[in-house]
Amino acid sequence: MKPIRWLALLLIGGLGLSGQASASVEKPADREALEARVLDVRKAMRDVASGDQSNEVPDQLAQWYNWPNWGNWNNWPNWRNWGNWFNR
Amino acid sequence: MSIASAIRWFSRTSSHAEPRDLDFDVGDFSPDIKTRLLILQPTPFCNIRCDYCYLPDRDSTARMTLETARLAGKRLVDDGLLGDELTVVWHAGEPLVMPPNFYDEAIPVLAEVMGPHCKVSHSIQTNATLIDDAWCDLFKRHAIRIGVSVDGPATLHDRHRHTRAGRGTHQRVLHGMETLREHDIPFHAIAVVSAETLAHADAFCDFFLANGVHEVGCNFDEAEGSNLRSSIADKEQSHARFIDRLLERSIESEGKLCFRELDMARHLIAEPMASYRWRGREFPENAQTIPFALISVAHNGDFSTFSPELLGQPSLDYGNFILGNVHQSGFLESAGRANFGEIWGAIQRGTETCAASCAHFGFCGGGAPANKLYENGDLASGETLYCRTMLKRPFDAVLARLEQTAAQGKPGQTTGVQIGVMP
Repeated sequence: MKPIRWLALLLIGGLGLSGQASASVEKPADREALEARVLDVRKAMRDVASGDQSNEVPDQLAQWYNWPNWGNWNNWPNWRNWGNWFNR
Repeated sequence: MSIASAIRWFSRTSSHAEPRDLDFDVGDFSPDIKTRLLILQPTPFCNIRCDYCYLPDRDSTARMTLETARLAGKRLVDDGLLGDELTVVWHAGEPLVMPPNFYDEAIPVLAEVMGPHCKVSHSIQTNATLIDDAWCDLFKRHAIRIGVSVDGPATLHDRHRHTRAGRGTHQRVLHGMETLREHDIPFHAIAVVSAETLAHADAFCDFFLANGVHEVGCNFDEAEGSNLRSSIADKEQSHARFIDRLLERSIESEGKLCFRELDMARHLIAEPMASYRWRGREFPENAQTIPFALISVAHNGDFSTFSPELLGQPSLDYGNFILGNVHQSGFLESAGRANFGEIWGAIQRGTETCAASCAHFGFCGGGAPANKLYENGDLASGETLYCRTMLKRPFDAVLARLEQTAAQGKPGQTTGVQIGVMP
């Protein structure tokens, strides 16, 4: 990690832990890029799900795009909590 | 305390000469904290002996009493921690070494205490070696969701999952899975993926397809507790190829084979992640970093929160992560204890570390504290192997695949980077 990020981290941590609200956490540049990519894909997924076929999605992947109707991830109980302990 | 944990303790206390604790106030959180998952450990005992197990007391045959189970539920009610729904997971040790009538009694006890306040559902994660008709009847009677721990074909599974006499358990697991199918009980699988599995992605997928298992969670071998080193620690390129292959096989299967990590990634890409505010600042939700979102209760009533694996793990500076006992105090009351403040302070600093350094923070919210401790020696640290194997690499693979596919419909476009200019 670059020294400037360590400095930012110390500053953010200090403010947060002392209970003095810091306005926001500085985003690493690579996070902004990643989030921009996700927003673009999210838009494409919704276009397809809403019937906008301007993008011709291969049949095999249609289910991936049409995510509200796809698969059964809802069946994973508390899926966000299942990270790493049901594991052995 | 083992030598390894003594070294970790020394390392932690040396690098942080003045550990900072953090005051806890439920009023700092918005929306209100609600417990989503109650993990009850009815016994530490396990009837098999996997070589990668992290549990410290799996030879102990101690058992939870009904009163302990009742108090665990009652404390949630009294503390106002129940939301609309709660999942109770019976876990740690092998839950089926308990007699079936324990659950026949404990589940109604919990329903009596918590049922008027929220919808309660039950899950069991089992090694499946003890499943018989009587257990299946019980699963149906209480609508218990079942997860089977199986690592794929026998050549992979039997390398690590042994009986106490040292023999492979695969045949017994297959029999348990067959019994579940005979009773029309749906189940998913959780597989520990070790180094040798990475080179056999297709055999891994073929096994689950052949056995009618449609939902598989991959838990990539982790260094935790008494499992001191992950077998995949130096095999990250192999892990990337494994993930790519699982993704292709999952897509090819047209819904017959789903992997939890890939589904999670797809969901995170498709939908904005839920968030919460703490002291006015917004964080992505991560149940392992929010106090009391998960609560683990041991057979004797000892309890903890944050990463469930932490409960009872040897730690001088964190008091073995035991925050209290349901026979003596409520959950929120434990927040006044010194070790709670130190744990919570370190975990929140770890979340800040992730926020300041990780590209995937917005899709994760701060990683897994237990892995930070065991991999980096510090709850306040950032990225771990766990982050890369369980979240980041599956996320990146799914995102790239979606970008690529979106671009395929556009003449002359071959990469996902063009997706941003689509109409």
